Order: sequence, then structure tokens, then C-alpha cells
Amino acid sequence: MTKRTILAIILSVAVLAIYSAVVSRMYPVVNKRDTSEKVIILPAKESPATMVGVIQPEVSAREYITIETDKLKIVFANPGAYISKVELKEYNAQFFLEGLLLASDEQNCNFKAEKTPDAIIFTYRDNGREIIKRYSLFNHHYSIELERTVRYLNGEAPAHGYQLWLNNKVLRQSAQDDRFMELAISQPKTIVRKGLFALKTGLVSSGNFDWAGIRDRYFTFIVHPSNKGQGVFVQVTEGQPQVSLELESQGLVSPETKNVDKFTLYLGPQNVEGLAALNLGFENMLYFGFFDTISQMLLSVLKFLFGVTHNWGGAILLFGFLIFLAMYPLTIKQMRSMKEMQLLQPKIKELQARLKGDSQKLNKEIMQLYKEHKVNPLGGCLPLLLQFPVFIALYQALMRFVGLRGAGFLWIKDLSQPDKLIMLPNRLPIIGNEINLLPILMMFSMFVQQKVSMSTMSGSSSAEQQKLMAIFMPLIFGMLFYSMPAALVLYWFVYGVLSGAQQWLLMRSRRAE
Amino acid sequence: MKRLILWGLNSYKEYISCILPRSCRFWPSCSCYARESIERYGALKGGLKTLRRIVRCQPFSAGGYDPVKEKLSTDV
Repeated sequence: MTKRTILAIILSVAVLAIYSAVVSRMYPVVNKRDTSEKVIILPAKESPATMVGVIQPEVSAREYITIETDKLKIVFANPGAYISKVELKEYNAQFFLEGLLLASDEQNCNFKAEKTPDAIIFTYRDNGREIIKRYSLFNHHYSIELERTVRYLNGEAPAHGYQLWLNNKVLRQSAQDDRFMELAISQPKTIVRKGLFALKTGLVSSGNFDWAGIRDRYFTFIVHPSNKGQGVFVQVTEGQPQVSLELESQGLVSPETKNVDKFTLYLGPQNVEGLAALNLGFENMLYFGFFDTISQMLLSVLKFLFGVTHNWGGAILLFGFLIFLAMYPLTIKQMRSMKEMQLLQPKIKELQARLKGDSQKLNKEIMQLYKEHKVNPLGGCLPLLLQFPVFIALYQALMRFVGLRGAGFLWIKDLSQPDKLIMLPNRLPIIGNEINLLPILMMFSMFVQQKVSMSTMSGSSSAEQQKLMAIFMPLIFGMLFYSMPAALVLYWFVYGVLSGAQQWLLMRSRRAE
Repeated sequence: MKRLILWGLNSYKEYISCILPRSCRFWPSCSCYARESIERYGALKGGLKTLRRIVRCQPFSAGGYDPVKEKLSTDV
């Protein structure tokens, strides 16, 4: 059991390391290929220079209006009637995007604001047109509705459409967080995902799309235009990607015609329940990577366990126990096989004596003997190969799972981060400026486990090698796990302790016989 | 494709497999089996055979001696 676990860890970690190296080097990783290859030539519009820096900082008289729902604190800004900043009250977090929902043809329009109980309405009127932007806000969920009504008072609409900017600015915390940031576009058949900071100025997607959104590690902003958008455009200014939606032109209209564009927005955490509640397929924004299906399944198991324990740390302990139980039938089977093995021992000794020089033939004969008696001393490759998709899927799920953010357990303040038991005044090499207890505990448990399994081994591989392994393996793993989220280390720790204990019991019962 | 897989398998056997404890229930081991069957049957068919082998490599199957079958030669 231990042996297999160790092998599984090595392989998983190797795959993880390679995976993250590849991901960080080779971004943009397009998970699903963009199927539309035709390139639309966009109608002439404002030169990039005016499009860039949509919100010019030098505008002096900028007006701010703050509106709160039970979940969000939204700061609207004028001119432009856009959302300047958002605060997520439940998570005590500043939203990672700033400058949302400015349209390209209203940047300098000074709107009049009017608050109603469930909405804020911005109105602008000049000689040529009237623009009304109505933001409807809701308590209890993270959706916002935007209705933009434009009336051309001379009956002449501009020939080209307009752009709606999803963001003007992205708040970056660390290079590590950058790789969690993605732009996703839901096209008729596929969902295109691109690393946000790997984008270059240009059209990311042409043709119809259902929704487009940006996400970071935990939160997301998704826009669904009710009349289909024509494409998604990105402008990169000083390393800041600004994403905009290309929206259709209205053509010639009579002065009475109102051009109404409706947008359904989601601005909040990436959790399935919230995203799916809008019935717009927003839940597809949630994507955990290659083993997405397994990740989603593991996450729903974890959520169920949370319902039992009401604590994420407890849920993870239970989860480790469940995985251990799931492997249990295999372990039992293996134990029985071990017992029968001992009955075969005389026959093997006889074979060994007979075929002393020819090790290949000996191996073959021994295997044949095992097969006849349907026993085998080894667990097999499948159980350990099965473990690493599960581990990677769990890693990917836990990395993005909002529920763990700020969830404490015992001395751990935040399960989504290393446990940081003691903060050091100075930065140390390798360790950094915090001491994490959990990886050290895990290292220690691995070390003990190695010791236990060493005494059970009947010298099949050299003792020297074994001793070296017993010291190096825990060290290597301690280092690899050192800065991983506490939740993940906790899971490995529990699983390791359980299989270690089981092995110890097994050994004791064998000695008793 | 075939050569890439074989290169990967060989380097696994050379550098990784040797420091790990034995775990395979069969002889030849799964990775040897993979190498042989891919060499003999090509990446697709050999890969499928390997998959079948790995699925059988767990405590509920007997294990034991299970070589890659000789490909029947058509040129007599």
C-alpha cells in the first residue's frame, strides 16, 4: 500500500510539475480550438489611440455614485455611466476588474443619474441622440441587468456598431495569480479559453457568441448580450488587456425607433450554483482543466461532506477517509493474497534452488506459479495509475474552489493557502518568510511510513537504496508540497496516516501469527 | 508518434522505474509489455493492448506470465 502510494505521489507530482511548467511557459493554452477561422474585416471606427485607455484619467470632474446590494458594493462613474469598482462584501474582496461596461460611443457623455429602489438609471441627451443606461440590481444573487436604449433624434444612426468594454483595468496581485486569469468566449459549438495575459491586440473571436467573460482564480465577470455579439476584441495597453464586445450596428432608423440592447451580467464568485441559476450556460465558465469532469465530481463530494461537517477542514479529513475506504477492497484482497503467499513459500524456494543461474526463467516460473494459485505479492499498476488523475483533478479543483477561500481549520487560517503557522521577520532561502507546519507534519508521517514499510520488506531491493529513499522521499515531497494550499496537504497527510496505520496493523497481526 | 512513445517508455524504464519498488503483478511488467506491443503492433493497436493490460493489473486479477503475442507473419 505504502509503496504504491509513494509511487503514485511521485508520478502525480512529476506530472503536476511538468504540467504547471508547460502551462506557465506555453500560455496561451487554448483548451478547445477556435473553430471559426474566417476573419471579419471590422468596419472603420475610432483609431486604436482613442480606444485605448478608454477611461482617460485626466478627466477632472469625474463623478462617483455608490450603490450597495446585500452582496455587492458597486461604484458607478460618470462621464460614461460605467462601473468603476466593485467590492464583494461576502468575500471581503476587491473585484479584480475595474472600469466595466463603458460603450465606445459614450465615453465623454455626461449622464444624469437617478436612483430607484432596484435600479440606477443614467440618461444622456444631446442634439443627435438620447442614451439611457439602466442597471437593475438584485439582492441575494450576483447578477446585474443592463439595458441600453439609444434613440437617434435625427433618424441617422452611425453605420458601424459600437463596442462595449468588459474592463479597462485588471488588478494583478502576483505572477502566480496571473495564470489563473482567463478570457472565455462561448461560441455556438465550443468554448474558447485564453490566458488573459498572453493575449495580443486584435480580434480574439469573430462570429456570433453567446457570452464572454473574464475570470481570475475565484471570481468572474460574464456578459451575455441578448442580441448576439459579433466578436470579441482585445486591446493590450502597457501589459493591461482590455476586452470589448463588438456589437451590431442598427443601420438607418426613424427618430422614434428605440434601439434596445439588453445584457445579462454575472459578477461574483465562480460557483456552480450561482452561475447555473441564470440558465444561460454561465456554469461553463467553471473549468478545472484536463480532468474537469473528475474535478467537478470530487468537488460535489466535498460539498456534500461539508453539509455533514459544516467545516471545510473536516470535510477534507472525511474526504481523505473516503478515498482510503474506496481503495479498501483492493487492500483487503491484497492482504488475503499475502497470506496465501506464505503457503507457497516452499515451492518458490524449490524453484529458486533449481533455477539459480537463469533469473529470467526463474521470474517466469514464479509468475506462472502465482497465476496457478491466483495469488500475487504485488498490488499492480492500475491502482496507482488510477490515483494520479484523481490527485491532479483534486489539486485543480482545490486551487480554484471559492469555498476554501478564507476557510479556517485548527491553526490554519486559510485552507486555500499554505498554513503559515509562524511568520518570520526575514526571508529565508527555500522556506521563504513563513513556516508551514502541515507540510512538515506530512514529511514526518511519510518518514515514519517509510520506516514501517522498510521493516516489512524482505530485502527485494538493496537495503542501501531503501535507506536513501526513506530520507530523500519525504524531503522531496515536503519541498514540493511546501507552498501548496493547506487543504491539499491536509488531504495527503490524512491519507498517508491512514494507510500507514493500516500497514502497521497488518504487520502486527502477521507477527502475532 | 510511435518513436516518441517508445522514447518516453525507455526513459521511464531507464531513469524512473529503477528507483521505484516493483509493483507489477505480471511478467513482463506493464511498461515492458507496452514497449513490446507498441513496437510490434504500432502506437494505436499496441496502445490499446497496453491499456487492456493495465486495467487487468490490479488485485482482482491473477497476474502472472503474460507476454505480448507474436504477430503472425504474412510473408511465408
